[in-house]
Amino acid sequence: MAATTTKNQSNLKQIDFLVLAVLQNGPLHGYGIVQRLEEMTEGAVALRPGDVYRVLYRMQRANLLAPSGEAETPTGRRANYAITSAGERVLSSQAEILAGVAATVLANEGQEHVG
Amino acid sequence: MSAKVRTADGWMLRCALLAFPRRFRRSLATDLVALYEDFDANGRQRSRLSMNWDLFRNGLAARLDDTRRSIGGGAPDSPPASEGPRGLGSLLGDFVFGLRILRKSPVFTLVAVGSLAIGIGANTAVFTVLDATILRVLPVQNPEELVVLHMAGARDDWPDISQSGWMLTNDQGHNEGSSFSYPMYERLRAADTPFRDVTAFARLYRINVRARGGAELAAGQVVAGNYYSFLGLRPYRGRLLTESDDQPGAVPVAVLSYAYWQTRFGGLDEAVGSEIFVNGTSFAVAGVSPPGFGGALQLGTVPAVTLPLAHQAPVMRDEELLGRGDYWWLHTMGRLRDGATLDQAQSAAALIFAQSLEADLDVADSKMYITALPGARGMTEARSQVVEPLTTVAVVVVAVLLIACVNLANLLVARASSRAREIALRLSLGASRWRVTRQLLSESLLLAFLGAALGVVFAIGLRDLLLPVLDLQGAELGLELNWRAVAFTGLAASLTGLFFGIVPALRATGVDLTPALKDEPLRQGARRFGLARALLVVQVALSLGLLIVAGLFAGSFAALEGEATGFDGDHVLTMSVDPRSSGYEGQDLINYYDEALRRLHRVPGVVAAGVASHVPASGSTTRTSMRVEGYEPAEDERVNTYLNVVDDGFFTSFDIVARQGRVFDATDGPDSPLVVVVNRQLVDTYLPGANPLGRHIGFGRGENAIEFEIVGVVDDIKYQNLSDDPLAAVHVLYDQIPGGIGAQTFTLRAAGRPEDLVAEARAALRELDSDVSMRRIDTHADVVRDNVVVARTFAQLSIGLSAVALLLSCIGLYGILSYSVAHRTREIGVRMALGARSSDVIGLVMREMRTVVVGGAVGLLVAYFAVRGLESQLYGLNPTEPRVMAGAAFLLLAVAALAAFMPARRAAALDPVEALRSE
Repeated sequence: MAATTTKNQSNLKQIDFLVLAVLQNGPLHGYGIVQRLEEMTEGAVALRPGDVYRVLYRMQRANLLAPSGEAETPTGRRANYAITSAGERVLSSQAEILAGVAATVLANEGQEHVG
Repeated sequence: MSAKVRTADGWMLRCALLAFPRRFRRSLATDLVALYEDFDANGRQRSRLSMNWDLFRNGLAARLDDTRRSIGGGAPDSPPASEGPRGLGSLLGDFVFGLRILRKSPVFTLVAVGSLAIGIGANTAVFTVLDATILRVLPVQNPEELVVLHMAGARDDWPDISQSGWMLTNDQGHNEGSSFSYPMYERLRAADTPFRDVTAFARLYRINVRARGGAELAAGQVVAGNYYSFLGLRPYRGRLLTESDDQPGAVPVAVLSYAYWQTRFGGLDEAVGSEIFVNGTSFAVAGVSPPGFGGALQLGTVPAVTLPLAHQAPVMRDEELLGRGDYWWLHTMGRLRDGATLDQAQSAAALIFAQSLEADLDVADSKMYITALPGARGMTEARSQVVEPLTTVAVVVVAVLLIACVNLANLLVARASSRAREIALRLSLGASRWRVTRQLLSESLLLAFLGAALGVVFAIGLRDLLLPVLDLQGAELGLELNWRAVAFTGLAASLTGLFFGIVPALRATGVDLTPALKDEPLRQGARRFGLARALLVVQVALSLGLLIVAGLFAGSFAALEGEATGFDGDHVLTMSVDPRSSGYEGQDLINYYDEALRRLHRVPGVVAAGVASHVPASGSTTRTSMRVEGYEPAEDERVNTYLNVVDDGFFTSFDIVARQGRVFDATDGPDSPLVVVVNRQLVDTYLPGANPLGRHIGFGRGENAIEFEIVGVVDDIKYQNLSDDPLAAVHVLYDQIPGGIGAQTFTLRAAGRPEDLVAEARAALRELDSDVSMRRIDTHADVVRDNVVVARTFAQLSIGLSAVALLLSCIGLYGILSYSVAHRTREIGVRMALGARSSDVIGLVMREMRTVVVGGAVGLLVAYFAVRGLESQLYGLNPTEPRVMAGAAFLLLAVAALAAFMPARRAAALDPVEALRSE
């Protein structure tokens, strides 16, 4: 893997990962991202507007996502954001790592319960 | 942007959005605003405050993300990489980045901010006090028309009067005071003079005010009925005193000061019309004087309660003073008619003064004279006492500010050269010169701001330290921090920061990139340190100057407090009584003192008990003329002496021992030979070279003539002021000088703390006769405190400030040397590789001390001429005292050498191979 990708991965924050995961199913506008995040994390992650756009801004500059047309919403036309191919690569490699980590953690917990 | 945002919250939102990087605002701001609307539409919007906080917080965070991004992993910090025209937002970004940079070098930041804070704080505090004490004009109508009268004359021409109030020595060496008798005031007011009107007022020393169920001591004054109308003041509540209140038999009324009304009466309207008791006499509160007006008395005396002159007797120990032409106690203030001059006023007042001397005191053709002075600031004697020391301190703090600024400059210059590589790197990576310069500038400004903020905190502390010393009550004077001073000093610091931020910045950004990147300091280094060296010279010179000033004040203070006083009053309690006002006279009076002393001796904890008409260093004296056996005075000469009526216990309580002969003892009494103890000054002046013991001193003439034999000589005891030249003094026994005894002060020497004696000693006297009231109870330390407090405080202050200056200079020196060593690491490595030994390297670095020596020489030279201005403030010390000069220079050199040695040792310990490889 190229050095830059490794760096991107190591710098990837959890919130970036979550946003990428939300966008995996298709482009979304700001409020859609907020809602989907809350659904996915069962309310554990509730972002405020400033947080959302700071994250979007950062990820856009890191080329992990990009604007992608507009959506019609009850409150008006809203800009959509879509995951880029770089974003998808980062998402899947990060997911693999995290899956491994999660498996280890769960296994350890299981042992503890057994022991 | 939606219509809703543009209208209602438009500008606020736009401001909050400025926190975000410019690039964000260009591309995402509209979407962000839309998201707020979505939140709103879904009922999730919270308060506007939380929205703005959300924006601000995330905006700054986004900026930080930007800086991190542009750094990439492991690269040094660099500022936000935004380009194009700058707005407020990117400036904020510079500051955020600057903060991060400053946090990365905490020592540098601490030193820079700390030295600025000290400079700014000290200046603000001192100028605040200076403004309030020396410059402030009375808040009354047309204060420029006001005139205060002084009278003055040679000691020998002084008439036989009782007097209270300040007495100073004027330029002609004459005594000068500002108190007059009531009859003189009446004459002045009645006469046709250049004065439109004249008023009179006097301080009441510590009155007991009982009100609202509690009693407490306060400052007060008695004033003529026209006082308030004369000054053109309007009541804040109720009414002020009028002429009709100042008539015999008038209903007794009082006026409260605004501050006292606030603190004691809670600012309640019911206070007006209520009854208060002043020294046991009932007064009705007529009203409250306007806020900000603290009377026209001496500096630091702010009367809480003002009473009419007509009622002075009951509150002043029943002494009826209005009829007495021989009791001078009233300050007299006039208001000039249009076009009238001070000189005209002075001549007119002089005429009335001469009439009064003749009519009241039977003194014709007196050489006493009147001076008329501007009265816009009220009475000025106390103020005049602090003008010189305060001015000196002002000069000192300005020097400290200069040093702080030079230090900052030094640090910035040294830092800029150490950052040359970083700057070159940024330039080579495409940052514009302006971009880099701006970053350095914002760092400097940030330092100045932080320094100013901390300085204000420091100023408040220092002001609160100064106020009690000057006997000022901040609340009553409304002594708020002088924001002009804050602004001025803050500006000075900012300009310093800007200038010395800009010069190195321009130089650094102008560097030829290649050698800077290679870090090739062999040639560049020396030139760049030229500016730093020049600054160091200035700094060392200033520090040495301050050290000398501090040394002089310390020496002067030591001289003042040390050997010169001739007594030891540390454990002495003083209690003043006047049994005469309870009917004692003649032999009864003597018996009273006999018995009182017997009882006081028995009070537990009393080591020695004595009595004196005047306590040392109290400023209270009696002066009289005498004859000295064996001394022939010249034709017009009056042989004057202080006369102190004492007992044998007086000497033991103050631990005064005879240098020749003996002091009084139990064998001396009413029936034994009449004896005196004199001081050394009397012997030196009138009996030089002779044996004084056995000679006689005479007082009085004709039938009243009385002769005493000198049995002992003691050291000169300071009676008036600690800094006064000694005058001849004679001590006589109270039971050997009938009629010479009156109001006396008991002096009790305690085994432990003198304060602990108060209750029992007071009880012992009350038991003897409860009608005899205690006029004043104080530890002698408190009595002296009033005398030396100014000298001591200014000594401490200048010592403290000089220590700070010295510390700052050392930091500057250390900084310069460390940076120079760091810079020359490669050179040192080459030298060591070629065989230089550690000692050679140390010598090489220590050679930087040349700069210090040059600075020291400049400082000495300037100080030698500048300190002459201090002459009048120093006691027992020449301003160019070589010991002080040499000591200060030595101290500075020693400390500087230490500061230079540490980097030198580090350089010597370098491994040559490492050094060659450095960076």
